[in-house]
Amino acid sequence: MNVDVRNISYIYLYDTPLETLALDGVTLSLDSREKTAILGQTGSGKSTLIQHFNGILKPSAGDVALDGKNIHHKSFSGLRRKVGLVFQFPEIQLFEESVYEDIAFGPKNLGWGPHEVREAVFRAVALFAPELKGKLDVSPFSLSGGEKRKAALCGVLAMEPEFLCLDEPTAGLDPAAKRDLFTRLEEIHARGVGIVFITHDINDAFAFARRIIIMDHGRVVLDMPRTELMTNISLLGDLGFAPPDIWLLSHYVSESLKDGPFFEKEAFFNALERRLNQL
Amino acid sequence: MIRFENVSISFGSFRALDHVSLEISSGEFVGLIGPNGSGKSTLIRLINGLLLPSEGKVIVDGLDTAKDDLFEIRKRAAALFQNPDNQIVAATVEDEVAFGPENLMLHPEEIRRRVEDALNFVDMLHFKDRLTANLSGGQKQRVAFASVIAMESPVYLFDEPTSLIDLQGRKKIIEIIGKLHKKEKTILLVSHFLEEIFLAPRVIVLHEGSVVFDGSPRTLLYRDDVLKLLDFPLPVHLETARHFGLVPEILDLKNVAQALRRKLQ
Repeated sequence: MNVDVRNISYIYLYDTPLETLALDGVTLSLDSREKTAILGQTGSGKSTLIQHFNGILKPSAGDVALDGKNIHHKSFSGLRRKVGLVFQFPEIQLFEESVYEDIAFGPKNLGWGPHEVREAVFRAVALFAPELKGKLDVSPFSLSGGEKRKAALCGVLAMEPEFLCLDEPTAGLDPAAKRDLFTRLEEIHARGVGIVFITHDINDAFAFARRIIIMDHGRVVLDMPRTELMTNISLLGDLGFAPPDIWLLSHYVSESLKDGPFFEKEAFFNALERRLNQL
Repeated sequence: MIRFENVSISFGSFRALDHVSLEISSGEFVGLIGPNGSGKSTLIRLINGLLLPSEGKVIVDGLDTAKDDLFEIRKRAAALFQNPDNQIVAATVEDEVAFGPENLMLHPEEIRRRVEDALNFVDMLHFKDRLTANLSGGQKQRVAFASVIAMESPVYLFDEPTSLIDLQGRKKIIEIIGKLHKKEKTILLVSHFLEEIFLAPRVIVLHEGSVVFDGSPRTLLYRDDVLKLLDFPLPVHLETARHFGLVPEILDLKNVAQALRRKLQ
């Protein structure tokens, strides 16, 4: 599946003194076979952009198409559910009496029958959060922070999207919960779901995504495969981003190591060991 | 300055802290880390009297949090929490920072001095007249920092102050904490970023309500048992230090890189 945004602009509070141009002519095409990270400073338009992918926001100019069909055209509005959107801190939107009801909320709203809803909830939980299986009857408010986030994510996954867009999915999670979340997203992706996530952390972007987009003042200022960015790392500095830690560290010793810099820890450590053995 | 005497606290059947004893001296900078639910936030809240122990005693600068005046205790230990949006109350930056000192009933001249000093300390003096609502997350957190710094208390408690802000914002916050440490303030920093915790000269690790490690970061780096309990992936510079046996004085990326370069020569 493809999400195509063509020359979209978005203005908040149009025709008021607080009018802000949040998106300024963005064009890009995303494929569900990709894992994409969107980086950018606060206010660069990242969240506004992904809210266009399933039509929550309607562009002030330009259009958004899923598989070539304009999602703001009446006859294609059903397509929007194929793009699942997970807001920042999705757990604050949990409100039902049980975890099950919360996860079932989305599919029910799509008008699915009780049997279908049940199937969808169990499928999402089995795939993404098996540890919640025994907790479907408890109140979502009794879950831990990491579990709440997963329950909220299951609510979106239960609608069986072909694309999953996440706004800073790891904010506030501890490193173990974060690693776990990325592992699960990797599994979802392996089943053919496209992943787009917003992050502030260049290390996460390089570790998980294969395509990296950087936004600034409502524009896409960089959009390239990770591998290509690796060979043009100075582009990051030009845009005010520090390279990933592994690159910084290996770059600092690359002269004495006569190798590198590296983007993968294993390769870096192997090179270090080889060199230390020679010494 | 802070003493826990055999402290336990339970919420219903859940024991959040289990017989914890520890002492933090004046001027120490202590990093506190543990998985979610290990009792870190509970420990912080016990120090400034937001929670009281079910058993044992918490003593702050000679005052018992269960018996003595909480106003006096909080004057000595100012706390800052995770989300700046939950602790900013005033419309402008200046009013926000003045809020605490005003509650201390200080002279207006003294309040003005403290506000300016505190904003200067976090490098936000030029934002004095700005609206708090228009600041970025990182800027808001720096204003929240200024608010607690303006209390000019001897002890500062920071509960995950960097978890919701971006990388650049985090670096600034850590710089501010380093500056407070140089001013010989007593600092307790809770964070789940290992790279931040490893900058403190003393690290305490909590696990299921108990202290499982209390020592230097350089020792912690080689304590497999404790790291296993934490189950946090190490940031790459710490993993490199550990793997290649490097122990620079300060365990940040730059010092690890320098130590590594020396080893390669």
